[in-house]
Amino acid sequence: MSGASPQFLEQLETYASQARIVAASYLPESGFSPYLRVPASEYLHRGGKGLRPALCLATCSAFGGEVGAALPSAAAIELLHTAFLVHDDVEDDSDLRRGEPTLHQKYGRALAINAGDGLAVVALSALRDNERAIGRRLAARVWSEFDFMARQTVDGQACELGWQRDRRTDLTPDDYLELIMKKTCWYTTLLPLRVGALIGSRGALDLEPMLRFGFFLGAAFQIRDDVLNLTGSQALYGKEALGDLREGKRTLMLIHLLAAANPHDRKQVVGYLALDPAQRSGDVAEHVLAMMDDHGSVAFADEFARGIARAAGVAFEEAFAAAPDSPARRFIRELVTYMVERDR
Amino acid sequence: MSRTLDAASHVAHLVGDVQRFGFLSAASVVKRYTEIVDRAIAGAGLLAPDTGARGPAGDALLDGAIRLAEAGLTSFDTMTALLLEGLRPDPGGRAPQTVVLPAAAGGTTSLAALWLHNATDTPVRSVELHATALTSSSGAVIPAEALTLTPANVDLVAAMSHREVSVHVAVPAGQAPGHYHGLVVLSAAPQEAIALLLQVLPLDGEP
Repeated sequence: MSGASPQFLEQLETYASQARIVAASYLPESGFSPYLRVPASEYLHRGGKGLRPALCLATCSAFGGEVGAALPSAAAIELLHTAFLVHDDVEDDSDLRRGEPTLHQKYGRALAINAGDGLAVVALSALRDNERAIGRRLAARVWSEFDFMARQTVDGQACELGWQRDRRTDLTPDDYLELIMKKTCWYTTLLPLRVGALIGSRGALDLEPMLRFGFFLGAAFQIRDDVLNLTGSQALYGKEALGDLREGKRTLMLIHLLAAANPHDRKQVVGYLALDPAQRSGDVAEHVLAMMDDHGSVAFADEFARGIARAAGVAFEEAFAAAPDSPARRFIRELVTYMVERDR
Repeated sequence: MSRTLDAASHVAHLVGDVQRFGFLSAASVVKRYTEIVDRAIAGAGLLAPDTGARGPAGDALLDGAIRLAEAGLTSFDTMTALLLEGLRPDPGGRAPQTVVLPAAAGGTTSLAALWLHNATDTPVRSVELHATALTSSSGAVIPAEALTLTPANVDLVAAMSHREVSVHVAVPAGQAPGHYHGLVVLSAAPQEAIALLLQVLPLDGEP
């Protein structure tokens, strides 16, 4: 594990719990049928690390704001994140989420998809409550941030699915970075940071350094996630091993392998990617993984991410230069290490 | 023993290169988004087309310098401080900005990137790129054949999107030290050119 301090882990859980409680309050028993409420609440109750709301709440606090002022936004982030997970699991036909069956495996595809819709819809209620928490003007600005993020995320997800459908094998590391900027970084790091900074500073902060820090952090996080999907323990990681390989996701490792492999190996990889996902058996996926090891693709991705992670550490200091030393600021600094060195 | 050390040193160098590659690639993505995000979020409407005066489609193809010499990132070694620059052709005839390649000695290579930015709402197709020879102030020449643009033909730059083009220079062994200048020209903007600058170092590697 990353060697995170007990104080850090305790604070992370505190932030995450605060956001989850508020998020769950938008799915009241009295307001919805159990056919919606039960599946929609399921992933929230399974926990999760709560990195996104924690980043939002801590950033707000670091810039002098009250944590409570950012709670509706943090809850909206958690609700939208959960909605994306539900639909992502359906799109990828994944089996496990947070160590248990995915929502569509447990409740069926139709109810799962509807639960994802419901989570996205109630996130709007949380954003509406921002008017009360931070005033109409700032709430409108926060709304714009969410609007931009949501467009980026669904567009990035569409690109990833399209690449898989079209059997793309001509991609570069730059294509991959553009993809994860859209599909991961906006909702994982950029939005939480920017919204937290906006609320904490009452809209006074220049957000450009936050863009830099957020992307470096989110990119290093996503590449680490991709590597863990290949090399991590399923018990710790909570998703099926080699899931990305079976789905044919265009990860940095796969892009590297396609570029580095000799013609014979490349032909095998291209053939593998031309199969339907159901045909990509564990044995064949293991063989592709072995090729990745042979060609240094995993090591390449790990090093590539380290370069970005180093930049994230420096960019943090720039982005938080106006924030005085505080527990919240120290928490975010430690969060950088936690996110890029985690083993789950 | 010496061979082992050489190999270890070589591996360490490669590892550093991969980290640098990761950082530089990520930094260029940030640079492009910096230009998009403010316009999109700060009130112009999400991804609204720029209604300001524009030249022909080719004029809008290249957009803005990408400069990665961020003050806060100086913890990277000096090689990391390379500049990746593209250029917005200036209809007013202003002197072009320059892609500065990392300094390199004879017998080594230098690599940088430039970006084709299509800021219009229509795709631009079949862009051919060509690089000229690089010439120093003393008249020494690095021939055009030593420069490789990848890709040299860009099939499509989609609307509101970007394509990266790498500029690779194989500096001939024994090349005289000095500052070398050249151009990249492209079919989509025949009246424009992107300037290249490469410093060839003396053999001891010191500028």
